[in-house]
Amino acid sequence: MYGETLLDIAMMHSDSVIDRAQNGDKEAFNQLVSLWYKRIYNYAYKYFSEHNLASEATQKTFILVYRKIDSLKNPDSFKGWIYRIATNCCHEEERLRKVNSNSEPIDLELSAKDRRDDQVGVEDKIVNEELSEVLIECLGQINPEQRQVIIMKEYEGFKFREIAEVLDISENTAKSRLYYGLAALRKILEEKNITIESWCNE
Amino acid sequence: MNKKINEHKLTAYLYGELSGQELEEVKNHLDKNPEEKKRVEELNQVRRILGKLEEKEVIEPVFIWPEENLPRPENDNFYHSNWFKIACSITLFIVIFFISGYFLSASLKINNGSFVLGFNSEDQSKIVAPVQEFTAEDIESIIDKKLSSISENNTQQFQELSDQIQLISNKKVLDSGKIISMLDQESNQLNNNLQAYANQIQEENINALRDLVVLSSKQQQAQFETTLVEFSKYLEQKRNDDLNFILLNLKDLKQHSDNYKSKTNEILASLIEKVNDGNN
Repeated sequence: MYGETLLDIAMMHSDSVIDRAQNGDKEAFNQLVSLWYKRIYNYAYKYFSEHNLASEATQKTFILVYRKIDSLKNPDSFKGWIYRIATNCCHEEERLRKVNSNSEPIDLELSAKDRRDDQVGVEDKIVNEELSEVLIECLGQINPEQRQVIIMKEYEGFKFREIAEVLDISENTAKSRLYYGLAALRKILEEKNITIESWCNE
Repeated sequence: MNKKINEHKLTAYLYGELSGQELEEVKNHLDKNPEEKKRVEELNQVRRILGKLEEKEVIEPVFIWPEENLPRPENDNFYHSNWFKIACSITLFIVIFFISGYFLSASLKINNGSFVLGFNSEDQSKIVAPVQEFTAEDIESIIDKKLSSISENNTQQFQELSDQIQLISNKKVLDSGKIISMLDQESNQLNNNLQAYANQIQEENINALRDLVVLSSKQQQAQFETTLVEFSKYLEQKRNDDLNFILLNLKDLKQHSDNYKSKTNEILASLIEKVNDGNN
């Protein structure tokens, strides 16, 4: 989806850094955080459509990575491993949000606000910066399982096999979730009158 | 949906992950089913819209990693494990026990079912010796003997030392006289050399100063002459300029007076004319 940046290349060749981190090198671990923090945050942000929850889940992910990195047998499988931890943290964070009624429902409020704005007219809202937020919100409205597969495939560059490994499902299930997730998203975008043409006219 | 062409294959097609026969099958299927083809195209549009979503920039927080959770390699963990520490402590205790036992001649005996641990047991018999009793006179005579022998030794050593000191002092007196005479000779030589060098430098300085004074007086004279010539030129120029200025002012004054004169005449003429008109 995105062109490969230097950061992406560095992430893909971080075996030695992982080795050093496994041997207790704190500096190497900080390097790992620098390499992966933005990726994991964006993954969580697209999942929650909300900054605070995404930050919380991302930080918990790295704390778990720090505690468990010596259990990682093969540095080549680091990407799948860290996303599995991030996915679990996202699920856990979502569960806590639902259970804890005192937690601030910022994302829900945002969604409600956006919905009110939708009634005023989406067309007026579509400007470059806001459109991304609308899209994130649309993603937030589809089934979490389908959303997760869409994010992993579209934004994180996973193969179907890798998605299946991380989410512990079959490849065909991953493909089905993606297919129906995209179909659901199409419906939501249609309701909001968002098309690629309107976007390109910006 | 065709049983053969299900959503799995359509998804793989959508992401360009089909090839060969499977790809042809899906293409044929979509050609025959325009509705399904339209749906796949719509999903592709959704993908394109998703592609517009930009990455959110975020600043990573500073993590402070606790020391106790720092992972260590397995062999390192072994050296830091409690089992290793306990084993080392026991081994060290045993080693110290045997070493101290060796130096203290420890012995372990089992007699009639009792366990006996002893130290220095063999040497005890050797150390025990009959005690000899001394009287006060004996002790006094021993002390006297010892003191006399010490004083004899001291006297002999003192004599030897004083001889050596005398020898050294005689030798040093001789040597110091020689050294002083050599130093005097050297210092005289050095003084003479320094005096000669100072005279030479003084003479060179006087010559250089003389040359400099002569040269500078010549230069100053030439400079003074040049300045005088330039000053006379300046004075001449200034005088001419002043004369021109005065001349110009005189001309202006003359012109003004002429104008004044003509205006006065005109006024007088007009007055005379008015007077004449009044008379008539």
